[in-house]
Amino acid sequence: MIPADHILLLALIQFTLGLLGVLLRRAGMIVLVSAGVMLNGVLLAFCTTISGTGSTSQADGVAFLIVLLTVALCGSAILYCFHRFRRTVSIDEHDRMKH
Amino acid sequence: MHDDPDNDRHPITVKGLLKMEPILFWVFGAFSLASGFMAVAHRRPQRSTQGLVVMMMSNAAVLFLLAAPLLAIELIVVTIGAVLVVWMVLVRPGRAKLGVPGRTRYNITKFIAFFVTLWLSLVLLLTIFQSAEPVGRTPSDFLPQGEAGALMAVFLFGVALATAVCLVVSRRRQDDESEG
Repeated sequence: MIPADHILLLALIQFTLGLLGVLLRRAGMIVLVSAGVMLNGVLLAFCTTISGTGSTSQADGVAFLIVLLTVALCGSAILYCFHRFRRTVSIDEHDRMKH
Repeated sequence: MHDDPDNDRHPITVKGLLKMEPILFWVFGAFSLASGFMAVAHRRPQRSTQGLVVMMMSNAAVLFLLAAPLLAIELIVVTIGAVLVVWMVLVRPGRAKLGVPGRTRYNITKFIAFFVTLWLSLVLLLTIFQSAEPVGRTPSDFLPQGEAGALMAVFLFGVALATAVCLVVSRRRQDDESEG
């Protein structure tokens, strides 16, 4: 049995790592990857409820995984469109998104 | 010879592996953190995406240890598939046109078909686990039957949707080529 504190600690470190990436990096692709790291930490925190309370449901985690997938695909679509129009994926250029 | 189920002299048993759970958890956790750091800190987007894939693999191993096999399988198949699509569309934008032959080494339709096949195989494997007699820690210990059925239905709906998208994309491409 793994203590819930250990799982939450790992989830917190992953979330902090991703947050630092989102705040500090400028390349759009790496910001998207950092958001994926953050969401993975949240998914791990969800699993604390499965392991800690003895609950048998994984439905919450599956729903959150669909959210993670949607964020990844929407982010990639936005970046792809932005790259088509501006030829760059730098986050600093995103204030010029209107046509 | 040693029929006693409480015999702990042999180290490689299911019981022994369960005692190693915290060690394995932190080994995979360390892999996950190291590759997450690589994903966030590396300058090249290719390496960053590779780091994310390794991190998700390590997280899937952690989820297996936390008795959430369905989540782990879905994380491997669905999310890593999505990351591969992101990698093909964004990181290599010049070469990853949607399935145009001759211009790309990575045909996106083949990738999707591969992941759909893998997905279906894992669903079948999970169904076999469900119907098997529970021995130790199998997925049937943590997954009620009704919920499993609903999740299988969602999986199969996703498979059907992905297959339909693949067929539409490949047919439209053939039509465009025949017109051109």
